[in-house]
Parts: sequence; C-alpha cells; structure tokens
Amino acid sequence: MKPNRTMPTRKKVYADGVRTVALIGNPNCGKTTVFNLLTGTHQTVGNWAGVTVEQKTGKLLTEGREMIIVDLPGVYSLRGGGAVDETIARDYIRSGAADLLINIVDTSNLERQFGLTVELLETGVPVIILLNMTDEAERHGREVDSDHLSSITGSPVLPFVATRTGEKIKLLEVLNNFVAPLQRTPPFTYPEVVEDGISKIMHLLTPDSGFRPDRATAGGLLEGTIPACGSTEIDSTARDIRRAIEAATGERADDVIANEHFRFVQKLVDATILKSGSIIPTLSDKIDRVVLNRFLGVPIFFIIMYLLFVVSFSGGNVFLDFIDRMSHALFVALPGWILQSIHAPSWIVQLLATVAGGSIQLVLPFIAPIGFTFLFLTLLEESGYMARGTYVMEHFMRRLGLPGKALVPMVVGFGCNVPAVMATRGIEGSRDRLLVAMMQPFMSCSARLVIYMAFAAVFFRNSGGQVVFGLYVLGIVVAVLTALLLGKTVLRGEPRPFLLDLPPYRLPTARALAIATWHRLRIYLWRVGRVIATATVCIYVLASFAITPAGIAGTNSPGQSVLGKLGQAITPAFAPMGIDQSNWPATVGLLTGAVAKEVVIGTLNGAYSRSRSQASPDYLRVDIPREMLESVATIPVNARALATSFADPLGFGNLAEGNSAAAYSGAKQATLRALATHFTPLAAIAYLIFVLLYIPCVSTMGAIRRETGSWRWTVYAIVWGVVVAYGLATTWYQLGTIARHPAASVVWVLTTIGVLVATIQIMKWFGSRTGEVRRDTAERG
Amino acid sequence: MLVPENQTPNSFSDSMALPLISEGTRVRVVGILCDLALRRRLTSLGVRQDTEMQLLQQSRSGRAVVRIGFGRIALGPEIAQALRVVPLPERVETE
Repeated sequence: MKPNRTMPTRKKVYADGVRTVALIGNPNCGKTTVFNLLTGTHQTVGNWAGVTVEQKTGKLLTEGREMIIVDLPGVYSLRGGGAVDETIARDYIRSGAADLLINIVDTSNLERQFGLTVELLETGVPVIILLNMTDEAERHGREVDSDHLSSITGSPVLPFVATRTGEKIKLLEVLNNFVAPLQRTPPFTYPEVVEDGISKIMHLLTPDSGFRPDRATAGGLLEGTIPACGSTEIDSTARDIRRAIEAATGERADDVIANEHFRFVQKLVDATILKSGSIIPTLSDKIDRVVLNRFLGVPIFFIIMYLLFVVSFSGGNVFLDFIDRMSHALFVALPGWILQSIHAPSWIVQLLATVAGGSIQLVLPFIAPIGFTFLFLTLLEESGYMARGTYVMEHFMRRLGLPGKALVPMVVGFGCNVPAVMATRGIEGSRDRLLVAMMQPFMSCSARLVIYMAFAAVFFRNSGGQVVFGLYVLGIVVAVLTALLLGKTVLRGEPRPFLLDLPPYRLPTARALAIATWHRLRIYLWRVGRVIATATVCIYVLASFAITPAGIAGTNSPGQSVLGKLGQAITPAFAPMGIDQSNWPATVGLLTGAVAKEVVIGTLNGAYSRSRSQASPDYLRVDIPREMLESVATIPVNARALATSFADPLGFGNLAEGNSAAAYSGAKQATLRALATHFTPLAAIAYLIFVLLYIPCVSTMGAIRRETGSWRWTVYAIVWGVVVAYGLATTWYQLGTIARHPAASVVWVLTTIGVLVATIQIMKWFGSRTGEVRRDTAERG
Repeated sequence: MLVPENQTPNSFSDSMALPLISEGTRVRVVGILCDLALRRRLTSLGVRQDTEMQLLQQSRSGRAVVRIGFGRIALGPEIAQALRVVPLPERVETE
C-alpha cells in the first residue's frame, strides 16, 4: 500500500468553517468502528425525524475545538434503493447539512464501493476518502496507489485500519489540516448534451426550489432518481432534456448517465489498484460452506435462534433477582426512608416511593432478558451471521408470502414488540415493511410471559409448558395469517426480490458490542420505561379516587374507585369468553394491559384485594444495605441454575412447583386464590388468548405510528388485534362450553365468524381502492 | 427490460440463466432482465453487465450466492433467473 503524501496543509479545517462531519459508506465498511474511534463515549443516540432509524452523533474535541460527527446509516448508492435507513443517509447528504464527508471504503471491495465515492464527489461537499481495512486487503496481496487516487479525485486519501486505536492520530491529523478547495471541479464530465442538461437544471435549483444546486442533485433529477417534488418547471425541463439526450445518443438518458458514471468508476479502479490480489480461501468461505449448506443451513439457524432464547431468558434470569431487589432498595426503600425520615406526608411517601419507585422496580428487571436479547442480536449482526440466517430462511418466508428479512423482527418480538417494530426498518419496500410491522404485536413478548406464569401456577401445574408453548405458537400463527391476509387484500403484491450483501465474518470487539447493545437498550428503557412509569402513577390515581354524589373523594376500596367502576361497566362485554360480572378485576387488568402488559399482574394484585391500604410500609425499618448485599448474593445462586436451564429456558419445568411460577409472575397469594375462584381452566385460557392478541401496548403503538408514519395503520393494528383476540377467545370458550348452552354457543361462534368475514371483506374493498397507489409507491421506493 | 444491443453469438445468445450454471463456475454477466429500479440496485452492489462472478452456492429453489471480487452477494430466485451469464474459462486467480 503506497502512503498518501499529498495532504493539503494550507489552512486549518476550522478556518474553512467545518463543524459537522458525516461518516458515510457502504454497509459493513467499518463505519461505526471509525465513529467509535473518533468519538469514544461522547455519543448520543436519537432518532432521525419521523422515523425510528437511529441517529448517532458524537463530539470530537481536537486542537481545543469541537466537531460534530454524524454516523450515517450504511448506503450503497445515492441513486435509490434499499430500506428506510438508506433513504435517511441519502437525504442527509443531499440536504448539505454536512460540511465535510468522510467516505469509508472497504479496501478489498473498492471496485464496488467506488460507485458511492464518485456519487459523493459529485455532490460538491468536500470528501476525505478513508481506505479502511487495508490490513485485510494486504493479506490478499492487494496494492492501492492512494496518491494517485487522491490526485484523480482531488480529495485526501488515507489508508486506514479502524480497529487499531493508534490510527486515530492519523485521521485527526488529516482532519485538522484539511482544506476545502474554494472551487471544486467535477470529478468527470458527461457527454456534451448531458452536461448542457445538468447546467440547465442547476440554474433552476434556486434556494426556493428546496434542492441543493450541485451536479449530483441535477443528475438525479435528470435521470429521475430524485423526484421533482411538485416543481413542474424542473419536471418538464428534465423531461425535455431526457428526450434530447435520447435523440442525440440513441440511448435512454439514465443509461447514458449510469454508463458514464461507471466508466469513471472503472477508471479509478484501473488507475489506482496496482495489484488486485488473489482470492485465497478464507475462514468466511469455510464457515459459509457449513452454515449455507442446503441441508445444514436451516437446522443451524434454528439452533442459533434457540441459543438466543436460552441466553436471553436464562442468562437474563441470572441477574433478574439482583436487579429486582437492588432496584427495590434504591428506588423504593431508599426514597421511602429519606421521605419518612424528614416526616413527609404519607401520601407523598406513597406516591413517590411506593408508586413511582415501584414502577421503576417493575421496569428494571426486564433489562436483564431484553439486554441479553439485544446483546446476542448485535453479536449475530456484527459477526455477519444474521445476513446468512436471512438467506437460509428466505425460501421458507417467501412461501408464507413474507420477505426473507421478516424473520429478524419476529425473533426480536419475543423479547419486546417495540424493538421488533423498530427492526422492520431494515426491510426494503413500504409494502413489505408494513406487512412485517403489522405482525409484531402478535409475537408473545416477555411481559406477557409473566401473566401466563401466574395463570399456569393456578390452573396448569402439570401442563403449563404445553399451554405457554401453545400461546407462543398461536401468536406466530396469527402474525403470519395477518401478513398473508394483508398481502392478499390491502397490501396486495409480491415480496421484493431478495438481494443481500453477505459481509465477511468478523469477531466484533467487546467495546463495539457493548456500545451497540447499550444504544438499543437505552432507547427501550426510555420509550417503554417512561410509559410504564406514567401509566403506573395514572392507574394509582384512578384506583385511589371514587366519583360520589358529593364529588371526587379518596377511597381504599378498589371496587368503588374510578378504575374499578370502569372495569365493572365493560365486564358484560367479556361474558362470552367466560368473565362474569363478579370477575370485574380481570377486566381492569385488561384495561391497564392496553397501556403496558407489564402492569397487568400488579393491577390484578390491587383489584382482587378487597381493600387497599393507603398507608406506606414503614421504610425506616428496612435494612437497605443488607437488602443490597442480599441482591448481589442472588447472582451466583441463579448462575448455578443456568446450567440446567438450557433444556428449559422458559422454566416450564418449574410450573409443577406452583410457588416458583407464582414468584416469577409477581402475583400475590390473594390474587392466585382469586384467579382460582373466578376462572375455570377454559376461561383462563380464553383470557390468556385475549391477553396475547388484543391491543398492543402503548409503546408498541407509538413505534408502529413512527415506523409506518400513519395513524390509520396504528388504528388498524389496534382494531384488528381486538377483533382477532375477541373472536378467538370467545370461540375457544364457547366451543368448550357448548354442551351447557348449545344454542347460545353456536350463535356466538357464527357471529364471530361473521365479524371476521366482514372485516376481511372491508380489507378487500380497501385493497381494491388503494392497490394502484401502493404499486406506484413500491415502484418508487 | 435490458437486453444488450450488441448480441453476438458469443455473448447474449450463448448465455444462460445463472441457476443453470454449476457451483464453482466463474461467469460473466451479459444481460440483466429486470426493471430499472432493480437493475440500479444490482449495479450499486457491483452486479452489472460484464461483471465477472463466481457461483459459490445455489439451492434447489433457485437462490444463489455469488462472489464478486472479494465480496459475496446472496440472490433470490427471481434475480438469479434474471441474470444471463456466460461461463468463463477456468483460470488460476492471481491478479
């Protein structure tokens, strides 16, 4: 590898006004490693406006000044294609928000990645080209003339190995000394007729047009890869120029542009790659021979998914008690102790320590299984296996009418539906993405498992495993049927053709894994945590007050409270699935479960108790340091149980021991007794079916709203969920009790089928109305 | 549809769909029979006319994994079927 010695040193980067530096490159080019190297822990993760694609920005302090580093999602081309994240990267580049681009390219794949480089050079934004992973390329015998590359492109070129921390100094030196040329010459020129057209369009790109006046934008508008966004003048001018180009060259305008572009890419390749190197069988080849094998590929995939399950649930369980007890000590007992020490009023102690602290204690233990799920998924993605798994399962998913990439969100959904909906962003095409997003609320998340456990402890001690497993399967079946139905009605069409880059296998560093996992977990905690905290406080307030003729008054009787009265009012609607009027607390659980499934058991604990104490526990008597020490001691105890849990990650074996399952669920003994009194086993299953399928929690609804950008689809997810849940739960209960009231059962079952058929007919009608529009959208996407 | 204009006996007319090639064979792409959007996408992933690739793996359903340069790409059956290729003579890959 020849070093590049022609770095400009005329003026400092700040003198040129450079503040925002965007990192851009193909997926798997090592971009995030460069981002971590530059920004260290000074990173913030948010969302790009309107979508749930992560926006990673960081600060770089160098020579006493600060730069904003933006890590853009990986993108193959500015010319279109790909999922939402690629669109985000393209829009960002076109917006001109970056003062400088660092184009990271995998040196082993320059032939392909120069395509994006040339497109970036055409934007007119200054570019630094980072030839990353030069060590891997050199192992293949590849030799690149970075000096020559720099002279042809007019941009600094830096051979780089992002995994070596010492390389940061080299990059900082280039950044600090970078000088943006006052006037950039185009990297290459098109035939005259095209150049004339680009000039004409660039004249129309005034500040009012909303477009940046650069060659890339003009070229994109000309070839139609950038929509004119309602500007009839630009649109008609582009059309005229296209006709002129076709008349002059005898070829389509977009082909002429693409061919010239490719010719320049080829010129770069020919001029700068001195030795292309030889393909020597790598570890990736050997691993691929096994994991992509037509007989072994699918079983290996399922084994890895099973391991993900085991690691997430069993690994999470090791820390579950620790987090639970530690968070009780820190967020409930400690604030309670402080408040009672200063003689704060009882209701403040109740609200801040017992309720608000209790809600934090409710959320934090979920960190363990969900954090492990994220860690394992990050490992699979960063190592390169997830792309293989997607390929292996593509055929199976396609037979179900689903895109191959639908599998990843479904697996994530077992942990939590919120990141599952967010994971649909990796799916190309609006139709496919919508289909998969609509499936996610039916995947049985870990919060629902807690509810299953409480019922299993009471009703299914010997068959709990089968019941819970059956519910998981039912969720998958309903999710797939929902997608099939949508695919045949409102979202008619075929899944997009499968095309996937298979990156080489790489062992991610522990630091990169930790950072990526933490970013995901932080979003989960913020999104889900604040909803649960708010919901718990609201539920507490609704359960503490009653509306009386004299006005609003406090009450300690759950049945008299606003929440209790609300539950009692809607309970008759649930009679067909086996919930009678005396079992109104179960309905209250469903009401609060619509906000967050995590709070259902807590609600049942309160609602089934005859009276609720308004007084807080005596926190002054709690030995907080001892509670913290005891929480730490649970880790080794639970770790010892880990070895036995590989065959039973969900703990089905423990269901026979009712106390264990009950303890897992957090249900009080009074609640378990009430469940035994108010439910029959048949009604219990009907209730669990309803809990599995009805309204997605508020956080999932929010994710669907953001991901689909549509309230209509969010409402659809809610309505369809309720229809399916009510229909299946009622059908189950009525068929089970048909001997007792045959006529009524038949009426209910027929009504359910009628409602389902009517819903499908409505969906078909919508499909016939919107089909053409959707096809147009899919073409553009 | 993109059909190369210069159809010579040694190029498009001699070509066949990628799934008809046996694993391990090196081929050259002589035609891509798909719509413009997909063709652009393929180009951005390094698959275009005259691209040389090696078929690493194929399945009965028509999916394929190909090596282009040092990279690998997985193709669904529709795309594999859309690629018209001609086999290249075997050679030792050193350059």
